Amino acid sequence: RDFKRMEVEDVDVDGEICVGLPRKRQVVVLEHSLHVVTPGDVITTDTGFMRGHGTYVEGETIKASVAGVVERVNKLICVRPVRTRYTGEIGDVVVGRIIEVGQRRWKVDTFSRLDSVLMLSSINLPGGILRRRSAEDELMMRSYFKEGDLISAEVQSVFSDVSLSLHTRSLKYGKLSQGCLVTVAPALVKRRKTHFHNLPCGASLILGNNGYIWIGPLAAEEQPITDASNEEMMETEMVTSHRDHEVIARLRNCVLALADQKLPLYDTTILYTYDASIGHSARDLVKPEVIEEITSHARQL
Amino acid sequence: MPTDSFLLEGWAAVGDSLVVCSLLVCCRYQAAVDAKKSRESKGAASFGTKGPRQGGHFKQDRNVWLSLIGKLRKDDRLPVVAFTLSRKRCDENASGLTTIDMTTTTQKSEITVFFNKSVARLKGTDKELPQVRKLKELLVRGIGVHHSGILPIMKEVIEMLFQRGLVKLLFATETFAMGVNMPARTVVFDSIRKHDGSALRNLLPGEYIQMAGRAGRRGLDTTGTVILLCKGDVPETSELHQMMLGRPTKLESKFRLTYSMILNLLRVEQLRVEDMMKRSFAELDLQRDAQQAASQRQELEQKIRDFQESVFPMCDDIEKYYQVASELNDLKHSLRLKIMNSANAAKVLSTGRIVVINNKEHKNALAVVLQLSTSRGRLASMSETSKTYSVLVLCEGKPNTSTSVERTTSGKSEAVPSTPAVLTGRTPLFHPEGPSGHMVVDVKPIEISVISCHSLRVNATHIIDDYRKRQQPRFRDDLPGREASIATQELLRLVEANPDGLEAVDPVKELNIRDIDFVEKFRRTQFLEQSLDTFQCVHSPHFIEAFEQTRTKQKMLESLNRLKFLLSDESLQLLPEYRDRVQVLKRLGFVDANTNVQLKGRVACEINNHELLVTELVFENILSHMHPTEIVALLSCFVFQQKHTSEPNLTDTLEKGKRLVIDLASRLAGVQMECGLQISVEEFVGELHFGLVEAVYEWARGMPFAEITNLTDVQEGIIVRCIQRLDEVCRDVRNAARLVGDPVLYEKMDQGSSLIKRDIVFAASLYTQ
Repeated sequence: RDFKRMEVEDVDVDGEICVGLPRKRQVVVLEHSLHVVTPGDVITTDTGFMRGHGTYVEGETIKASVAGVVERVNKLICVRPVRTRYTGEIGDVVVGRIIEVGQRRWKVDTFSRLDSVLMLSSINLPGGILRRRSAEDELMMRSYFKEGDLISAEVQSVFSDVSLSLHTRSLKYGKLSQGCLVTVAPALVKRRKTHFHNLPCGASLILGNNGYIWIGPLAAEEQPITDASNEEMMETEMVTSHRDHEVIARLRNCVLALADQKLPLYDTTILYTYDASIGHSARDLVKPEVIEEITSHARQL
Repeated sequence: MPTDSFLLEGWAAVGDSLVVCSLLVCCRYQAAVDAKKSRESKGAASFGTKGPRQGGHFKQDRNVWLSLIGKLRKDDRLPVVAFTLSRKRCDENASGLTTIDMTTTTQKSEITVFFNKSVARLKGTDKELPQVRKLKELLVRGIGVHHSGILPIMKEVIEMLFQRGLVKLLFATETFAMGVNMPARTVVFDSIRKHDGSALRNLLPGEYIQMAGRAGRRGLDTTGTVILLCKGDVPETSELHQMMLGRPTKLESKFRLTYSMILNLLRVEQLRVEDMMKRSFAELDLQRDAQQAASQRQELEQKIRDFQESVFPMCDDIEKYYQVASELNDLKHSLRLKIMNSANAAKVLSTGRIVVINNKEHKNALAVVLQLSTSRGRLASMSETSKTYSVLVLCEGKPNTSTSVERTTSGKSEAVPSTPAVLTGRTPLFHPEGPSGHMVVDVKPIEISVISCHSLRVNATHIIDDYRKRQQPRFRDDLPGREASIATQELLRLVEANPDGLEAVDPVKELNIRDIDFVEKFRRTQFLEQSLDTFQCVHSPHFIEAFEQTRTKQKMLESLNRLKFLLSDESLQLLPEYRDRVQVLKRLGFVDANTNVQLKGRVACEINNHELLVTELVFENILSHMHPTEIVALLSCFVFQQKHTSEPNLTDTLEKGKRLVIDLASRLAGVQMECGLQISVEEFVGELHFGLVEAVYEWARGMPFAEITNLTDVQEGIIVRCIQRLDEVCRDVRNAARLVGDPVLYEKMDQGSSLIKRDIVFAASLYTQ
C-alpha cells in the first residue's frame, strides 16, 4: 500500500516532519455509560438474548469476541469493534484504490476483509452512453481505471462471502485526482445522509465509509465532463494552486488530529477543527498539544 | 379474429351476432327473453311454480352442459374453454359430465402415454393422489380442469394436452385467460358474474374481452364463438352492452409506498423517496402541468416586481387591515355555513322569521321567511345548498328597474369587502327610496346574513299563491294581496325603526351550537370586528383606492404561493403517508433521527413481504428457540392467503408461536396507528392466515403429500404454491440471520428450507425439460 504515502507526502507543505512522542491519553468521562468489553468478557448470562456479530456463546453465557462497545437491538446483542476492517453495507460511499484489472471487472481495495469488485457493467461510460459493454470496452478498461487509481464509488450489493460489489453510475463517483487520501479507522466515519462535502474553506471532502477520506480541491465551476479525452486533459493539466495545497494539507492534519483523538468524523467536526486550527501553521497541527487544543471544540459536540 | 356472440338460454342457442354490432345483440336478446318467457309460462302451467329459477341447480346445470356440448360437437365447434369463475363450480361441472366421451381411441392412448410419462417424475404415493387419479380419468375423455387449486404439474399437463388439441372441453377460471397462446374455437361463459373478493359483480369490459378473445385460433378457425349461458334470468341488455362494449377500466396508479421501498431508497444517496413518488403515474397530471405552472410562476413574479404601488397618506397599516379583513370574511362565511346547517337554525328559520338577505340582487334587504323547500335539482349533490328558503323580500316599488341597477353594481360579490361597516354588517338596512315593493324569491341558506330575533305572523301559502298569480301576464297589474301588503308594510316599519340593523340571534346561546371549534371561531370574529376600528387607514380619504391596490397585490401573492406549493414536493399526494411511515420506522428503530438506516432497517431490506413483522420476529428472538419445522410452519402465515379454511390442529409450541406473532402484529399495528396511518389492528392481523400451519408442519416433518391433503380442506395446488412461496420467506429470514450475525438461526432456516423442498411441491416444470 505504497500509493497512499506518496500522495500524502505530495501535499506536505515544506517537507518538514514533526515527530511527536506517544503521550499519556486523557481519560475521557462519558456522560452516558457505554458497555465496553474486551474479548472473553461475559456480556450476559441471560439466555433470552440472541447473539450477533462480535460475540460467541459458551455454555449459557454470551461473551465478547472482540474489543468494543456492546450494542443491543431488541433481543439482539452484538459488539461493535473499535478497530476493525470495513464491513460494507449497501448504499455506502467508499473511496478505494484499483489494485487489479481483471476480466470485465476491477479489483478494488476498500479496506474490507476481501477485495471489492467493480464490474465493467456498473461504471458510467465516458459520455454517459447506456449500452451493453462490448469486447472493445473490455480492452479499453485500463483507459478508464488503471492500477493505482483512486476512485469514489457506492456499494451496490454485498456478496454472500461479504465481499462488496461497487458501482460508479453517477457523475459524482469516479476517478479522484489532485488531492490527498487520509486513512482512518472505519468506525470513526459517521454515517450521514451525504458523504460528499464542498467545504467553505475551499476544498472538497469525500468521507468514505470505509475510513478512506479524500481531500481535494474544489471542483472548478464544473461543467459535466463528457469526453474521455477531455477528462484526461483535465487531470494532467489542471494545476492546483499553492493556496489550495495549503488548505488541503491543513484539512488533512485536522482529520488526522480528530482521528488521533478518536472523535467521530463528519462535516461539522472537521469544520470546527479547521476553524480552530487557523491560528497555527499547517505543519504544527501534528503536535500533540496543538491537537488537544484544536479538537476541543469538536469534542464537546 | 371476428367473434360471434350467443346468448344461450335453456336448451337452445337462440342468437348469433357479431360483437361489434350491438344492434344485432339487442334483437337476438329480445328473442332470448321471449324464449325464456314462453318457457316459464309453460312451466307455470305444468308445475304451478312461478318466479325466477334458481341458477346453479346441479342437475339442471349438468343437463345444460350435456346439451350444449352435444350441439357444439355436432356443429364442429370444439375445443371449448368454459370459463367458470369459481374453483368449486369448475370441479362440480367437470365431475358431473360422467357420460361424455369426446376422444377417439388413438387420442385416448396418446393422452394416457403422455400423462403417464409426466406423472412418472413424481415419487411414490404422489402418483396416486386423488386429484391426479381424477384428472387422469377426465383427461382420457377429453375434459380438463384448470384453476389455481390444481397441482402445478397437473396444470402443465393439461395446458400441454390442450395445446395439442387433445382436451376438447376445458373448465377454467379467469387465470387461464391470462396465459399466453391458449386459444380455443369456442368460449363459453358459465356465468357473467364473479366474486372479486368483496362482492359479486358483473365482469368488467377488460375481463370479458380478455376471456372472450380466447375464442378463435389463428390459422385454424375463421371465426370464434362466444356463448353466454343464461341460467338464471337473461341479463339486461344494458348490462350486456356495458360488459361487451363498455369503456375499459380507467388506468390508475397502484403505486404503494412500502416500508421496504422507503428503506431501500433511504440508504442510497442517489435517489430520494420524493423523487420516486414524483415519477409515479399518480403524479402524472401534476408533473405534466409542472412546466406550465413554472412559466406562470415566473410571469407572476415578474408582475409582482413590476407592480406600481402608489403611496397613500395615512394608509401604512393597510396590509394588516387586509389580512384581518380577509380572515374575518372567511370566518364569517364558515360560521354562516355552520349556523345554517345546524338543526336549531332550521327550527328558527320557520315561517314568519325575519332575516336579512345579502346576495347579488338584494343588498342588506329585510325579508320574511315563508317556507323551506328542499330542492332535488342539480344542486342536490351539494348538501349545504340543497335547501332553499322562499322569502318575501322588501324591495323597490318597481322591481324591474331596480334589479337591473343592482346587477351592474354587484360585480364583485366574492371579493373581500372593504370597509369595516360592510365587514361587520353594520351597514344601514335597505330602505326603498320610492314606494316599497316586494318580491318572493328562493334564497340559499348562505345568502341569509342575519337571522333576527323578530318574527311576523304571516300566511305563507296565501302570499306565495298571490305572488305567483301576479307573475302571470294577465294578472300583472293586479294589486298585491292583503297578506302580502301587510307583510311588506310591517317590514318597512321595522326598517324605519332600526335603520342600522336588527338584533341578531346569538348562535351560541340561542341556537345552542356548542361545538368548541365554532365557539372559538365566533369569539375570534367578535375580537376581529372590534379590532377593525383601531386601524388608522379606515379614516383615510384614500381608503378605497388603497384597499383596492392591496387587494390586487395580495391576490397575486396568493396565487404565487399556490403555484409554489404545486411545484414543490409538498403537493405530492403521498407525502403525508410517507412522513407517517418514516415516523413509524423511527419509532421502531429501523432508522435513526436523521433517517440513516440502522441494522434493523438493513435487515428489513432483505425481506420481501411483511418486512416490519418478520424483522421484528427475528429481533425479538422468537424464532431461534424453535425447531426448523416449527419455524417454517409459523412463517407460512405470511404467504398463505386463503381466508376461510378448516381450523388447523396445532401443537403447544405452534400455538404459542402463533400467539406471539399475533401479539407482535397487533403491537406493530398500534404503533402505525399512533403515527397516523390508516390501519386497524384487525386489518393488520387479518392479513396473517394460519390455516396452513399444521399442513406445513407435517410436510416439513416428512409426511407424504397424500396424507397432507387430509389435514386441511385447502386445495392441493394452493398448498403447493404456498409452500413454494414459503421457501422464499425462508431465504429472506436466512439472509436476515446472516446480517445480524446469528449462525444458529441461519442454520435452522437453511434446514427448514431443505426440509420443505421435496417431492411434488418442488417437482421440476415440464416446460423446462
